[in-house]
Amino acid sequence: MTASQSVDQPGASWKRMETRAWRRRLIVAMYAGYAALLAEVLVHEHVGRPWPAGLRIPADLLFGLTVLVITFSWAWVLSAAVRYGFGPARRRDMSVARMRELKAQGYSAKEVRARMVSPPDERQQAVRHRAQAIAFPISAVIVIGGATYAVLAIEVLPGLWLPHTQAEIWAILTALILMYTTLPPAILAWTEPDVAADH
Amino acid sequence: MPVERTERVTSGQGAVHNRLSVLRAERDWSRQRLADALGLHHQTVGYLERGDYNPSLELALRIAGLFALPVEAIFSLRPFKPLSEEVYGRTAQEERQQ
Repeated sequence: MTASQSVDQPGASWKRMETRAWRRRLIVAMYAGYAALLAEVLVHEHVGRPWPAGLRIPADLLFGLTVLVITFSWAWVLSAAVRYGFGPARRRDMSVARMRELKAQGYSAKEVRARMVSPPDERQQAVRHRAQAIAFPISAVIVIGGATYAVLAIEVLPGLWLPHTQAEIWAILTALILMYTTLPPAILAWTEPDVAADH
Repeated sequence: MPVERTERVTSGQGAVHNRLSVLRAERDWSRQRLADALGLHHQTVGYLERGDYNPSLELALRIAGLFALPVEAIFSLRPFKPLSEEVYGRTAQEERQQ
């Protein structure tokens, strides 16, 4: 292997996933999946409970598919968040080939693991701060807007809709969890340009 | 605080030009190797080379130390001339005329 050939470069499939077009598709899939899940829950609660016999299997299949889409895209966005230092863990992006090479060079497993884990560098920290700066006012508007609506619905306009059923309350909680865990990394993944090829 | 730009800046105030890609190519180093030496992610090296990210003073000094060159030999507020022109004092047009 020459010096210009790096074993740390991600493979073709990973590079495809690192493109901005792919990242944006996943983010759209995640939020659209949540919207679909919310719609299914509300329809089930207010219109179709219990589902008519002919709709039960398609509805369950749709529900399962939506959950799968959300789970996959959510996990991907969270893993991207970890790599950019949003969470307590630090990025781990060393390839198996690179780990083997280090072991062959005499590094112990502990030393290889130490090299695998490194804090985000200064550019990654800068883009993380930028994403958090964009996400903060968005989440503040959503939370303050929601709280204001709740106060209005309770105190001023009692006819307004409020979550009552267990499914509706869980849907609101899930939306809050989704928003707080994914908004900054989703902004980051949406705006970061494609990875340039090494040359 | 480093300046983050979303588009390549080639001229104008705020642009910092660099010779990182030339220096790396001279040594036949991959971006990963340079990134490892500087404690950066390999993508960050790409951003630096393209001028899409301006390094902090600390990083610029570390880069200068790694290549054993003064900072101004690697980074400049004005576009660099081609090395041949700087070394031999001739432009590419003059080269062709000879």
